[in-house]
Parts: sequence; structure tokens; C-alpha cells
Amino acid sequence: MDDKRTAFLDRVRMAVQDSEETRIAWSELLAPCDDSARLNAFAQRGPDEQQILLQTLVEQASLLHLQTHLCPTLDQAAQCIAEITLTSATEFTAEPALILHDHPLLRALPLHAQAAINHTPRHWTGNRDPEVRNRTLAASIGVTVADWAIAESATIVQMTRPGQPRSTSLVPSIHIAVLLLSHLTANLAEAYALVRREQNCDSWTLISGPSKTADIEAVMVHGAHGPKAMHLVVVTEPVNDAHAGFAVAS
Amino acid sequence: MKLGQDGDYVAAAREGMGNPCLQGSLRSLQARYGKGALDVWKTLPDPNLRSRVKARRMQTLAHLDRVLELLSQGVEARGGQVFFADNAEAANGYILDLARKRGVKRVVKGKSMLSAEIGVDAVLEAEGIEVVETDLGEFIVQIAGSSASHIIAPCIHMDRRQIGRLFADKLGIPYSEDPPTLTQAARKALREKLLTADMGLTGCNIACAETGQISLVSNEGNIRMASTMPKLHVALMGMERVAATLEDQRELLQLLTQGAALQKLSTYVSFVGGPRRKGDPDGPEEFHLVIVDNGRSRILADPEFREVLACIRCGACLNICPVYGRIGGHAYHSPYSGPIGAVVTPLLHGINRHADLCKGETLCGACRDVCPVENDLPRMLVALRCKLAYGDPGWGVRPHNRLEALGFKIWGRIVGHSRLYAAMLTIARALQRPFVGRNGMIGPLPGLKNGWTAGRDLQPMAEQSFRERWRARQNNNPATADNSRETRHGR
Ligand code: SF4
Repeated sequence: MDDKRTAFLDRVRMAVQDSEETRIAWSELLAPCDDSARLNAFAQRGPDEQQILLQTLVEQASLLHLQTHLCPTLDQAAQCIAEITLTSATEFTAEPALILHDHPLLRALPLHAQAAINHTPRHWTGNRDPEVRNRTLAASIGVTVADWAIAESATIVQMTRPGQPRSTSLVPSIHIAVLLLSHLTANLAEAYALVRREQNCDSWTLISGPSKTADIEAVMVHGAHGPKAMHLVVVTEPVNDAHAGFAVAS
Repeated sequence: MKLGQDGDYVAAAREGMGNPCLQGSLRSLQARYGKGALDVWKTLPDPNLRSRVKARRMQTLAHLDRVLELLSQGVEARGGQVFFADNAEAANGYILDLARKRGVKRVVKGKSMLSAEIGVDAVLEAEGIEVVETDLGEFIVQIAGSSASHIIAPCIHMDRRQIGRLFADKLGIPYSEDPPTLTQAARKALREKLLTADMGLTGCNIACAETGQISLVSNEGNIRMASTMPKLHVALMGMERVAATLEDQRELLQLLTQGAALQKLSTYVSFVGGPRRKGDPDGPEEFHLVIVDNGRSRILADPEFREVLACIRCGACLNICPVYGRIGGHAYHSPYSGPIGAVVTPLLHGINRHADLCKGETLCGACRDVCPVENDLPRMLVALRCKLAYGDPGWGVRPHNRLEALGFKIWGRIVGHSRLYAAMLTIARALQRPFVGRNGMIGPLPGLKNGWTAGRDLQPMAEQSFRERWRARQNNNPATADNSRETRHGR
């Protein structure tokens, strides 16, 4: 440790020395969080409870201009994405173009069966592709998978992983996130418990709706610097885990 | 604006009160958010949440040295770099040096009050580096050559017509006063900057020592952009803005977004703690965390004021303060305005220099009620006033007004002697007579008294004091006349 840092931290140590007697032990301050109850609640949630959460999610989402689409199957989810692609106006690009997270669930979406968007350019954010940045800039729609979503605040949780970069949900004008209903959590506490269980949480993001600002006379405007519109496509019927590409919590 | 620019509190306050646009905005802001936050706290499922979070905050501060060490270890393990800056100069020097070494030509900023506190923009600009604010409100005040007047809503002092003219002038767009059109124009202009900048400079809302990360909160997405697209990401963090564990961070985050804007969560909350991983197609190539002291360790060392470091800069106290609600943010002459500014600005930059701030507040206690971490700002305002009255060598405070101190000393003597006091009353009553107007009130007075009477009429002193009336009443009542006489003689 360099001298400057040592001096800095020494000064801080000196500043708090008076709290010697009152402070709790370091191990207590850093005590690990017991997540078992939250993880259990998540894992053991029955279909009825899930439906109630879904209801909450849809209600909360509507308050945030986050458009939800309930699709029983992957086929219907693919169709839904095609419809959004066809009906959305482009902003920075002349023609619509998709950039998709390189995620098994998205790979399993039968987008090829959607004739209407057969000519729409589709790119995957593969790790080895040096053009990902440019392709993202050229895309009008970014499609990602929500690792989890939070019903109480209509939020999706997204971990940065190889092939699943941060800009896909940020740079294109429209963001579509695909969620498996079984990955819907009740609240932020539950979602944090799931994040803690992950090995690789070097970078992660919570997203609740399209970007917005109310800086001019407190008038709410959607589309500040991030996407103008956000869609959450919820696949409501169980999906084969191999497709999902991530284990549903057990 | 660099923290501590001297300025005339009274003049700026008057200007704020005379700005009809600001007055309208402040009224609606306070009606909605200040009261709204109070309602949120009343209906919290866990009524002890705020006090529990505050206790954790204070415990974390008590271990701050180790907490910061843990945080920096986490960042460094990921390949990020951490710089501990004693003061503004050290922080600015580090950032400038880095910018020079990497040949940075353009810096995009996410909202950071600390960056305004240390004045980093001017340092970079002097080197010919373009510095662009990307939060819409901050961008507007930047191109207007103005400064932020609210922690969360920086351009609350400007209306859509002013902004429309500004954009027509600076962005070359046709004049419009339609907020979506104006926002779209800024979106286009700033996207260009965000995608071509060499460095993103952000603040840090709440760092987390346990995971070795910082968390960044925004609604616009500009902070995610600034921390994702440029090759370099530099995050400025006041040394107190750290939670020990992720669980602490979660609770603070929820209090922050609710206190600030009644949101369950802000649109974007991102956690970063290093450069992109090998093979990641985006994210910065370098991540630098600059942890800044700049006067904070002195506050930390004083048990009377340590509590103010629990602040999470949500702005709720601004949204409820009757003084801020009239005068607006510019009178505070600091990036930190409102009640929190009135406490923290003098502590960071000179209690004498910012003497007006703590005296301007009314001590009504609303800020304490609304604060998500239950900071007792009124208590600290009184403590600051006390230092100003009596001086404090530890803080380098000289008595603010010796004449006033002398006046109060004399006053103290007088009120301790009832005869003297009664005599003074008689004289004062006689003296006030010529000044009582037709409405029975004292109008504007000349000289020193003008400060009290320029903006309001004063009630004159009553012709009879309470004691005199009481005595007269008792004497006129045969049943008590003797008794009262006895009491008087008995004293
Ligand atoms: S003092 Fe409390 S209410 Fe004011 S900004 Fe800080 S945390 Fe918010």
C-alpha cells in the first residue's frame, strides 16, 4: 500500500477512534446475510402465487411505461418480438435492426419462423465479434434476457456475462427483455439474494422501464439517454431448462 | 460551481424569491415530493427501517478505515484502480494526469455533486479538454453558464421558455417550448458526445465494501452510458458514501429512491467495480475509483457532526424545507443546498465563510422528519450557530459578530433584573410610539432595524405587560386583592 493511502486511512482511523467502545465488532458488521428464507420463498412459489406476482408486475409496469406482453410459449414470444419490430418507429437508423444477447433462451426463440422480419438484420452479441459495438450502434432494438424480474417495482435484473454485454439494453432506441415467469421474484430483497448466490456478479444492473427525465418543468418525458420504449415479454408456460440456459432455482 | 464560492446569501435569496418561475416550481416540488416522502415513511411496512439503517450507517462510519480498505481491495482484485485523495487538488491532479496520459479530449459526466465540490471541470477545461454534463438538468445549467439549484432537479430555476431559447441559441434548433421536443434535441446532441468521449466521469451513489463495487443510480441512462461506452471510467466518491454489505446497500438504495422521488426504484441502478472482463465486448477498459476526503475526516472526527456523513444526498430535506422552498438553491453558494447544504457546506468549507447558511434556516424540524436516515440537521444547525456565537478554535471559528454577542450579554443582564427590565419596557414603549402606523403596526424602520422590518410589519410592544395586567386584575378583584398584595410583598 502506498504512503498516501496509508496516511489517508490512518487519518480516518484516528477520526473514529473515539467510537472504540461503542462500535460493533468488524465480524458483526460484515456478517453474511442469511438468504435461506428468501431463496426458499422464491423456489417454492406455486403457480397461483406466481400469477399474483405477475399481476403486480403488470400493474407496476404500466405505471412506468414498461409494456408487458404475456406469451404462453416461445413461439408466441418470437411472434411478439416480430410485431414490436414491425410496429416501432426507428430513431437513429433508417431501417429496423435487431441486436440480441447471445443467450440460449434467445437462441431457442424461433425468430426464423417469423417471415415478416426475415429481412430485418439480426446480430448476436458474441464475445468474439469485434464489431459488437458498431452493430449495437446500428441496431434499433436490443433484445436481452432478464435473469430475474421484481414484481413490486417492475424491475429486471441483468448480470453482465460473456456474450451478454451492457450496451444491448441501453444504446438501441427500444429494449425488449424476455423473462421466464419462473424467474419472477417478489421484491428487491429476494432478487439480491439471488444475485448473492451468483458467482460472477462483477457487473449487474437493475432496469425499471424506459429511460426518462423530468428535468424540464417536471414534465415526464420518456427517452432521455437510454431506450425510449421498453417491452417485457413474459413467457408464462414452463420452458425446457436446456432452452432457458439457466437453471430455475431449486 | 466550486464549493465555497463566496456570495451574498441575502442578495441571492432575494433574487430567488423574486423569480416567479422558481417560486412556481418550488411550490409544486414541495407539495408533491416533500409531503409524499413523509407519507411513504408513515406507511413503511417496517416502521423501524429508517432507524435501523441509520444505526448501520453510524456503525459503518465507526469502521470507515477498514470499510474503505475492503472496498479498494475488491476493486483492485478486479483490475480497477483506487486513488485516495486527501483534498480537491489531489483528486483533480490525479484525474488530470490520467486524462493527459491517455490523451483524453472529451469527458462526459454523469451527475456528481462531488465533481462540483472539487471543481474538476475547470481543471480539465484549462487543459483544453471538453467537459460535457450529460444529465439533462446539469447539461442545461452548464450551457446556460448557471449552476445547479437542487440536488436532484438541477435546473428547477429555469422554465421551458428560457430552456427553449437556450437550446435555439446553443444547439441551433428551431425555438420550441415543448419538453419532449427539447429533450429529444438534447438526447441527440448528447448521444453524439456520449458515444465519442474518451472518459466517463461519474459520482457514486452508494458503494458496497463487501462486494467491492460502486452503485450508480439514474433515471435518464446517462450514467450507464458514461460508465459503459468510453474507454475510461473514473468514479468520484466522497469517502463516506459506502455501505458495509450488499444488504445495507439495498436498504439505503430503497430509502434513497423513495426519499428522492417517491420511486420504488430508479430506472437504472448499476453495480460496477472494475474494467470490462477479458472478452467482454463492452464496458470500460480502465476503471478508476477516486475516494475523496476533502474535509470529511474532520467532520468524522467530531461526534457532534459525524451524523451528517450518514447523508445519502436524496434531496428530501430540500423538498420540505420552508426556507429552501422560498429562496431556492443558489443562495447556498454550494452544490449542496437546502438544509443539508446549510450543515455540510460550512463544515467542508468554513463555518465563518458560510455563516449565513445556518442562521437562515428556521429550525422547524421538518428536515429531520423527512430525512430517510433521520439526520438531526436542526441539532447540527444549532451547534453551528453556537460555534459562531462563541467561537471554536478546534474548527477555527471566530465569534461571528462581537457586537451582537455584547448585545446579548447586556440583554442577559437586563432580563435577570425585573426592575431594570420593567424600566426598559417603559422606555421602549415611549420610544416606539412615533413609529406605530395607522394600522397599529410598526412599519419599515431605518438603520439596523431595517433588516427586521423591511419585509414585514412588527407588532408593537403591548402597552401593558402580562405581569402588569395580572397585578391590576388581582387588585381590582376584592377576593384576591389582599392575597396578591401578600404575594408581592413576600417576594
Ligand atoms: S440530510 Fe437526509 S434528507 Fe437531506 S439529502 Fe441527506 S439523506 Fe436526504
